[in-house]
Amino acid sequence: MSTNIPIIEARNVSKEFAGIAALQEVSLKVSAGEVLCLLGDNGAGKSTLIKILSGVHAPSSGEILLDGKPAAFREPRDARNAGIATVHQYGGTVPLMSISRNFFLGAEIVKGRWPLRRLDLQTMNRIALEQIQSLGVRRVTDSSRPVGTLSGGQRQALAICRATYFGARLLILDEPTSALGVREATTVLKLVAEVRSRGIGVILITHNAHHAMSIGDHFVVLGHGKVVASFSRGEKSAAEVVGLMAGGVELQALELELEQFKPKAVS
Amino acid sequence: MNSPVQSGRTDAPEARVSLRSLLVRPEFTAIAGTIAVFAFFAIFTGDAGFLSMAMTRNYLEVAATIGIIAAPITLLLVAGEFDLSVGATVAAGEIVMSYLIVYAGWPVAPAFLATVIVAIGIGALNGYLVVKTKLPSFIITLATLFIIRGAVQGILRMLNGNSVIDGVRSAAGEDPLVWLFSGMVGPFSVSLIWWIVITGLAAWVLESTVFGNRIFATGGNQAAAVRTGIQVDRLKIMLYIAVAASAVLVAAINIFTINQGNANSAVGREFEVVTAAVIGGALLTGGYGSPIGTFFGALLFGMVDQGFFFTPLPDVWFLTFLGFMLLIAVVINNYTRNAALKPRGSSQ
Ligand SMILES: Nc1ncnc2c1ncn2[C@@H]1O[C@H](COP(=O)(O)OP(=O)(O)O)[C@@H](O)[C@H]1O
Ligand SMILES: [Mg+2]
Repeated sequence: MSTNIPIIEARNVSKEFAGIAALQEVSLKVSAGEVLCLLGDNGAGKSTLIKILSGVHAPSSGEILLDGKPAAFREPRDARNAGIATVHQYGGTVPLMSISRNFFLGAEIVKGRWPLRRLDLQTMNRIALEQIQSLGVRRVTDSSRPVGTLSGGQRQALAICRATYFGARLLILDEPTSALGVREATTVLKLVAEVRSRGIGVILITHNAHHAMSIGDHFVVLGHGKVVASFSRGEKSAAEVVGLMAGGVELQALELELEQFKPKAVS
Repeated sequence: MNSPVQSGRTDAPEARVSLRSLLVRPEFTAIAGTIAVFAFFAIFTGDAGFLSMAMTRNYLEVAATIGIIAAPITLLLVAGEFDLSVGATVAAGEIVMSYLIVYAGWPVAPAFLATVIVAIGIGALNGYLVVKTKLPSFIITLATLFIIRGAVQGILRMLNGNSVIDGVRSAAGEDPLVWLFSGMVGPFSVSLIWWIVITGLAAWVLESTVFGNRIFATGGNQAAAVRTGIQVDRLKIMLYIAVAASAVLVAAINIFTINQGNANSAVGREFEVVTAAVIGGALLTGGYGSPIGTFFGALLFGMVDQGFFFTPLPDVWFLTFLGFMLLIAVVINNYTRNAALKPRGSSQ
């Protein structure tokens, strides 16, 4: 019965910056074990929306519901405590620190009594490695080596793994695949699927319609701060989605314009 | 290809000891350099007296007064900040403490405590200005260097028309605490013990505690550190206070060893401590460094400083020699660090 209550829901959320509307009446919801892809061109309002969902900004109007109840996040910590984790591009890791030190940063495991209280590096190394491998990243075999030795995809994996280990119920991934090569991106998308299968909700922001189509359950396309389209898996083709993202009409106009150049280019 | 090669900062308890894992440690350059310089002076100037006990005592003393400050400076560098005001803070500590002992007639203990409180004030001010203005700490502490140095000289001029306060030892009389600063442990001065203890403490804090983990994160990626809830401003202010406190410890050692507080003391010490830390593997951009490496950086500095006296070169060439050593050290350190960070195991 309660399984259909979304983890998080935005209802008619608007946000203005100094009189300029960055978001207008945006609604969306994500349930457990669901991947929502948030699509849209640069400046469409994607980052503004996830900043509201993660407690960085307060909405100008509209409301945020957490497990069906109104929530007021005053700061990012409130959202984090509610199980909403944001993973930034490059995973927000510290390259010169070891994998396990990164994994436990801010929540270190210690042993011993106060004046001699110290990091339990052995336990930290073991847990970090177990967690990363359990998400299918088997190529990492030593969690004491610096994060700087990891690839971009592995760093994303580390950050995602860390968020789920510390109890995230909703993961917000801001353009996790945009800086990655094809194979690396595939690794991250597989990871998202694995996370979803554990019943965690995911909001995936991306520019790449194909990445979105391969993993998404629901799709919300933003354009100029408004919801341009909202649909479920299988309801639209990748080509349609690309058109929506670029603001359909403009793209058609562009195609018409390009038509005129075709004969000249051939001759 | 898929052998688990050890890299830079491995925390693995059973880290495999390979030549490579040794080479990429941040301390490597400083330790190798220390051995090389010791061998050089021992071979070429050993007969002239470099290996004598008196000489050993001398260079350890020089190294200690650098190393005591360089250890907390290393933590500050790892946190991504800089402190140019330490030399001026040593002078301030010398004048405050010798004033209280010689002119105000205070016993050593309260005089030292009062000086430490002054240091806490200086450190807190440096730290507060750096985190509030968000300006480069290089500039902020360059300003406080001038402010403190000038104030110390100016105030002392008004007080006794001079730039020194003499007779600290006789004013302290038989105070047993004098031993803590200028006593001897066997053939060596007690400053050696302070240096070793403070280095050990700094190394332990940095490598083995939660606070140390957060120092690394603050200097390595401040935005990420803030996002995980680390209070980077508070952490930096604490490190500035630790640095200033170490500077007044050196001040106390100086006034009892030299029997004088001097407003012109420790000019240029700010560069000597950073030189020791950088030779020891610390990265000026933050996120990387080793108090153990810094220890050897300071030792190297002391050996060259004193050993140079025995070479046929006039001692004005000392700085040139030091400059070349620093250059070689940073080039090697830069190379080994990049080697440590090369992606591996992810290629195929
Ligand atoms: N802090 C801010 N102050 C003023 N305007 C902002 C701010 N953040 C975003 N905007 C504006 O809001 C609009 C949406 O931006 P953003 O949410 O970053 O889009 P996206 O992430 O989809 O590229 C843009 O016009 C942007 O200039
Ligand atoms: Mg954005």
